[in-house]
Amino acid sequence: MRFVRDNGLSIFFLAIFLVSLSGQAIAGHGAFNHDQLLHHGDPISLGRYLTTSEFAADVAENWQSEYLQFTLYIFGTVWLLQRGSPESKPLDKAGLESDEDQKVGEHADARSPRWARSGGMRTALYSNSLLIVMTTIWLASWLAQSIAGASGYNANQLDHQAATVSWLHYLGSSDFWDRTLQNWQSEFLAVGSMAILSVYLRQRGSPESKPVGAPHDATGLEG
Amino acid sequence: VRASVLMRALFVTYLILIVAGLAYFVTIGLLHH
Repeated sequence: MRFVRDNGLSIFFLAIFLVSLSGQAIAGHGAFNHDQLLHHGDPISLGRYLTTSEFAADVAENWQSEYLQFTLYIFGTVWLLQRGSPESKPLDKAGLESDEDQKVGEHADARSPRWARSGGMRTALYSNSLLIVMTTIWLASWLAQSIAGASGYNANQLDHQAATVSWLHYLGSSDFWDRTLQNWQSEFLAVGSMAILSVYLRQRGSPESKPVGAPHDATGLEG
Repeated sequence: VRASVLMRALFVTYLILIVAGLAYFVTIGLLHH
């Protein structure tokens, strides 16, 4: 199957995403019912658990942090460099680069996408389309986390005969920021360490690594 | 040609999955509000 070989990355990650999400649903359901029993509540079915705001907020908070990570990485690597890292551009290429380098407008070739060739607004939009879409998904999933998180928080408040809060009030709550920052910190550490570890360490055959024999200070080389 | 159609289908599948997921989470949050 040539299609499977040619698209192995997207297909493999789609498959393990679906398996992991199913696993999260089953494990989350178990944990939710355990908590219900501790609070003298009734256990609920898996189907019903999938419609709880706890499940929605748990998934959304991880989505938003992953999309933030890639959004920052795409944007940051336009301007920020790391000497010796295959994740960085060569040290003299910081910034948006020339139209010639980027093959836009009159520098586009016959196989360039139409919107790279057309110039004007369309080319400007297409030139930033990856960042625009990733930022949109990040903000939308952060919004989803906040809405589902607020409703889960209020359900918990009601369980303990405490006052509920508005969505805006929830945005300033420690629950919202605890859920948000615990995800962000791990993404930022992973990205920063990847940038510097890949200066000195190698994985033969991976485009995330430099070639095994490349010198430590060679920047922007992929394996 | 068929391979490029399938590749675009994979691209669209990811986008639909993400948009559907986000819509689902927002709807759940709003319904429980």
